[in-house]
Amino acid sequence: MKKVLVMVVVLTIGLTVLAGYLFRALLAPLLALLFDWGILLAGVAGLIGIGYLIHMNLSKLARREKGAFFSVVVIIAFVFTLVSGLVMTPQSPFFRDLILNVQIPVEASLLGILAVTLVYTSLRLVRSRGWTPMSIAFLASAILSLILNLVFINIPTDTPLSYLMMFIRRLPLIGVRGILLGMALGGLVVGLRVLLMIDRPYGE
Amino acid sequence: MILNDVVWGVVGLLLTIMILSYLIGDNVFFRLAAHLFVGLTAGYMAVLIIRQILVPYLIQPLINGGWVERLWMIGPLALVILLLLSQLPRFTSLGRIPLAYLAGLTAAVVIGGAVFGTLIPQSRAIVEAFDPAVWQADPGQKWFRVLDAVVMLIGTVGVLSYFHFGRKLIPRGGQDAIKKPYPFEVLAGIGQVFIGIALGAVFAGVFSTALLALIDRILFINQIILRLMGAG
Repeated sequence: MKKVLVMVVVLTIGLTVLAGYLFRALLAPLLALLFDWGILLAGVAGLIGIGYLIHMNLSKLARREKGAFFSVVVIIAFVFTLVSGLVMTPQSPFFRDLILNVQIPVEASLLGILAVTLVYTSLRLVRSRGWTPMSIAFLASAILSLILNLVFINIPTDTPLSYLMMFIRRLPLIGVRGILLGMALGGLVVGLRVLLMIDRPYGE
Repeated sequence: MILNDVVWGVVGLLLTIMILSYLIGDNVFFRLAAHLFVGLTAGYMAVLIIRQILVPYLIQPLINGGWVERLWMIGPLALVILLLLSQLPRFTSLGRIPLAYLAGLTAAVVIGGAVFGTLIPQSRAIVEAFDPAVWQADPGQKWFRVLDAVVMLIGTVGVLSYFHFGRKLIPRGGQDAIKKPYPFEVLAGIGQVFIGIALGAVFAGVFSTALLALIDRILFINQIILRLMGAG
């Protein structure tokens, strides 16, 4: 009985949303309702995920595992931010300062570390994978893109060289287009497999 | 420089140094900053979910809505309760219904997005590049546009051949049987080059951004230290 109910839910919701792409005006109010419920469920699922994170850190602390001190940091930071955000509004100056002055330095510094890591890994790429067509194309394209992104390269327009430059600049788009099409085909297949119940991400 | 700026400036400075200390190896300061960031981000996400999703989509309609609106809320309320109950080991199976709802919704959105958002527009762009009217639009660029269209078509087909959506063939006549057919092999080789070119360009973009972020952080450290010393 429960299996049938689950199948009915997947098919009804999936087919209604798909029908909404074709009969948008007719089904707009129903789609808005379905999406509102979906957003609500995704939000609750997100809260459950955060709950698991905190539960995991609390258990680590209770078992006095190695690195339990860092769990204390996570829990204190979480509780402090949650209480501040609920007592004040997210738009209040203190809460905004708290978020921006922690998030921006940390995220920007992590991005800065990425620059060093990228150089290191790109040098290791050839060593680990050898000179394959892909690694040669990757390195050549990376170096050429870095040079072309420099502002001081100025080529007169409507000359054969400018057309060549335009062609070279468009080359990465071909790969990106192929990757996009590949991802779309993959997404389409996965979506169809879920709707046809070949894959059941919600459990057996 | 007012006190508020000083305090937050010092917080930013310390966090920047703690994160950048990872460059000399994994250490306690980096971990401290990373865990602080995780806790704060989790708290911020929880605040956003509560204030921007739970309150307007569930709590407000239940408290302030009329009878009809409250009646409509029985559906999502039941789904939320089932999802929450499914976290208890005894009621795990109850979570299938809300998860099935999310799976059906997501699958349909993904199918629609893939077909109407990517497959049709991208395929149309490839086909439209072969339109003679486009070639004739600027006679000076005719051969450039023809070359661009042909390379775009071959490259895109090549990249798709490299991904080769399909299962492996069952080997019948030795090792060669599990190989892709020869035309696919050639196209996949071409596709490999175009994937390399695309990833190289993406790498260059990410590297430039990351380098700018690193420079920005170094300038930030310099600026805050100068300010604290009263020179800025």
